Amino acid sequence: MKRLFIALLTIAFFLPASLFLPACSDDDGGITPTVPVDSPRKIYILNEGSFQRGNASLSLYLPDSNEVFNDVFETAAGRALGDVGNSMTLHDGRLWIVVNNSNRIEVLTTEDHAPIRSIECLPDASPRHIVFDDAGTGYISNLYRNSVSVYDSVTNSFIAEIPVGDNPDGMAIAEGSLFVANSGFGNDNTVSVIDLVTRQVDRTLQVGDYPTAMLHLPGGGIAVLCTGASNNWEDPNDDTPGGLYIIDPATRTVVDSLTLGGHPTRLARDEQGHVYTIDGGITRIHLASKSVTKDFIPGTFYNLFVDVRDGKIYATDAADYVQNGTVEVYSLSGTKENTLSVGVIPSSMVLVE
Amino acid sequence: MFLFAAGTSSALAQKRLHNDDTLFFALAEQVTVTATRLPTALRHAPGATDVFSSREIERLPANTVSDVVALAPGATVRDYGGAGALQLASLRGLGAEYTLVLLNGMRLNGAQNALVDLGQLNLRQVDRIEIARGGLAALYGSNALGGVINIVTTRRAAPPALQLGYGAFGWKQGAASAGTQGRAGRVFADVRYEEADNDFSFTPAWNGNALVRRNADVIRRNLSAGGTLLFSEATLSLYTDFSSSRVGTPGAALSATQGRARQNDDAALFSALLDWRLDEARILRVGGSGRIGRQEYRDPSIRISGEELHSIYDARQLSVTASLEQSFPGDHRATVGVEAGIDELESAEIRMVPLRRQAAVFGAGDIRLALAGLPLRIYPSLRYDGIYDSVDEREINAVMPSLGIHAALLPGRLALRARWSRSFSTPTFNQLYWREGGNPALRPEYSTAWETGLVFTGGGILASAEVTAFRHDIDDKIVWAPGQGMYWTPRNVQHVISDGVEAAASLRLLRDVLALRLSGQWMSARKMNTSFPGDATQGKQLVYVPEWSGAAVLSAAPLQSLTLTATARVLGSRFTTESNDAVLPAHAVIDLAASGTAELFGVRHELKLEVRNLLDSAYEVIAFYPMPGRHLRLIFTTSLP
Repeated sequence: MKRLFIALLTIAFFLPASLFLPACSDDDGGITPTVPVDSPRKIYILNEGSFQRGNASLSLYLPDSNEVFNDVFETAAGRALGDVGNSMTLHDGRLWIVVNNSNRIEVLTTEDHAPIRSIECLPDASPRHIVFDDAGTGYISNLYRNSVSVYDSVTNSFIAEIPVGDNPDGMAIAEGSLFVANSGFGNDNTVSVIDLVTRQVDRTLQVGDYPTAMLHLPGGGIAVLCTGASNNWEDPNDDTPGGLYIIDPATRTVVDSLTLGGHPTRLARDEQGHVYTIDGGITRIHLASKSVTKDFIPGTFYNLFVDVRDGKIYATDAADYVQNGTVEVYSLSGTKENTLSVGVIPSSMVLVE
Repeated sequence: MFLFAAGTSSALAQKRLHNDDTLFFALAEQVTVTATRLPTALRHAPGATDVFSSREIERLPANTVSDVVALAPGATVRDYGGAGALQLASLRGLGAEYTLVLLNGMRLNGAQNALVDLGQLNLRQVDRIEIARGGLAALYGSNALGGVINIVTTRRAAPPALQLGYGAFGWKQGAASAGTQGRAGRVFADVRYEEADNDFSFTPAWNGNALVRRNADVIRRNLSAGGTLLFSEATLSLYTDFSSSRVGTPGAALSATQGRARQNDDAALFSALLDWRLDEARILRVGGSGRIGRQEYRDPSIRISGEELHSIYDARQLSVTASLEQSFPGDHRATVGVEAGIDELESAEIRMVPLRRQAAVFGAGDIRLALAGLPLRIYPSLRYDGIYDSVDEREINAVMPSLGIHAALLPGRLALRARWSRSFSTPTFNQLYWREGGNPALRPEYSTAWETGLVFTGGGILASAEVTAFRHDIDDKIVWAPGQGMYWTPRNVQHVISDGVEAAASLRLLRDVLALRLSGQWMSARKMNTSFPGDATQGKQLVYVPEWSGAAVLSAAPLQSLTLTATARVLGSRFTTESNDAVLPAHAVIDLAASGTAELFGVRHELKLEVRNLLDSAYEVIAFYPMPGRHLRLIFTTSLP
């Protein structure tokens, strides 16, 4: 009996330890204000979050009242958004948020931010972007599957997978074709052209090294931003320059190009004939004259967006990439007007009006 | 680079250990060679030091060095998913790159990244593990900013033994050892095989549905052999070890699709140590060690230009050392020595083939004085390290001093100890020469550390108790930050101060049938500088450093042939972001081990049952790396007595 007592004492000694542990909580004590649902104009800011920290988040900016609401998704859904929020697309009144390292796409309404659906992407997809055709079919670029998967939003299922080039990234749909930038992390220089009827690549266009972003231009063309390859990192002299390429979707050919130099990322445009990109600061390109203004807005920015109606440039500052960042708001002339405090690594932005 | 586990000190410790077989812990006269580089009674060490002896380790629910280190005061283990996963030691809130790990004196921290996976180091043939906390570069050179973990393999006879283990998640282990000893010395050989699928279930925070951990399987093979040759005034110890590890590294559990990366580690190491007593006052020690290792990482999920991610690192280390220990009248002692070594790394991920040459001169002393009639020991040490990297012909010259004292306030009962030291850490090859983001302009990191504590050595129930306050002030800490293009690059940009208090006690209960070891610590490890105006990380706790944590080991020997051991590890909440706005909750993990022995037909049999995570706690040490729930292991050992 004495030995049994000792054995029980041995076990019992430790049991109370767990009783004194604080309850699981990540509450910082703050109160999230209620997000107004009837605002006429909303700008959503997707904060990537740090890699493998699972702290991607969604912020909302109301330009009319100059209010910022953070953690919009988590507040509405009751769970975290995931790891590395890469991009988001507005379709059918809903936000489709591509959460890259969670291999998911989260769908929520723009009215009350109610989560509609959480789509598990194909295994090892590492999804980057989603675009939709007129029929509502979604196309997702899969960075590590070297493919585009076809998503039926009605049946909530993947119905096809189309092989493309290396490490596909940005996409655009026009004239019955899907154009896919094959980045290859600098080792590819092509755009796959997919026929939306046959769902096959029927043409591959050559552009500059490291094509990443695509943008619809007012005249119907598609701009492709090529970041340029770094090649041997020990030798800065063997880099290839970044550039802008214009595709005519009707003929499915590259019709023009412009060497930018450096290693630009991101694309946005205004309605005054300018395209903007980032290479440290913001570079402004006047398409008609092909004049390039480097450091049109000096700084170190991560992503940008242009509100064409209000004439504002929204440029994100990721600070040190581990703490909350900001969105800097500029006029089209480059005058700073506002600073918005948002989440970690603010990146993709979408206007809802 | 060598640390000498003097045969005389081991013998002294063992002799005293055997005086009381009912105690699992050598509470009174454990000896450490790590704290001062001279064999020193643990209670006389100038800094916080803990020793886990083989007797204690055998009874723990423990399979790897990681399992033991997690129970030490001031130590936490950053565990990326349990058996088979990466397990890194953190002493006093500082990272694994600031924890120097020695195996029989051989430095295991390679120049590649200075990290040592303690989960790959099994406990077979381990005689003791010493964990000395504090800045110890004045004794051991680079990387010892937080302290030193010294693993010493046994010099005792190894009787023929066979061990079989079976447990949850497909865990199987088979091991065999054989050895013999005579007047000329001893030889031994030990082989071990371990495998597990580690397909445990967990419920991720981002999804209420349970998932099964996939691709976390492990296969490990070890062959070690060695021996000791005894001469009239000298001992030659040889040790060699071949290890092979094949593990799946599923990565963070961020989606239902778990990672498919694989990592292979193969290594061969050897060490030789001549311990020569020249006369009554002088001991000469000469040694050499080497290690050849290959690490291969492959991730089929990440394809760049059609090729899956596949990296190989071939590392080669060689070191030699010689030292002389001299005793002086009045029991003063000193040791002086030299070390030389090379580290070479070959990988397509690294620029060129960096070769690091290192030479060091060191001296350490143990000066015994009396202050107002009370014993006072002073432990000065000084070390010079000259380091030369071939790639960019960079030189680092570092002179690191240390001064420790141990003052008896109540002789035999209460003592005050204190130590001040300077330490440094050399940038790793990855930090300097990684092809995509390495920064060859990096400087060494420097730290100033002090600690002071009270040590009580008692009798009766409270066998010993100690409390230690410390501060480590690190300048030029290297941090990875966004660089040019898509890759990050390291920079010397951070100033970190780690303050804390450690408390530990050992108790004997019920006429020594129960032994209890308790420890707890509070740590504040914070970034002190601002990186830019409005930096929200200034003054914030470093990620994954708990402000408080603790451990307990309770052992009972109700019968000569039956032992019961329970361990508890409690880890306070930890921030997972530099701005301290996301947190992992606190957790407690209790493990049990029960061992029964019997002798039949002259053969000794032991059956050990381990219950890991008794409370079935669902927890993560690192965010998104789930840990296994409650599980059992059964280990049967049969040996000749």
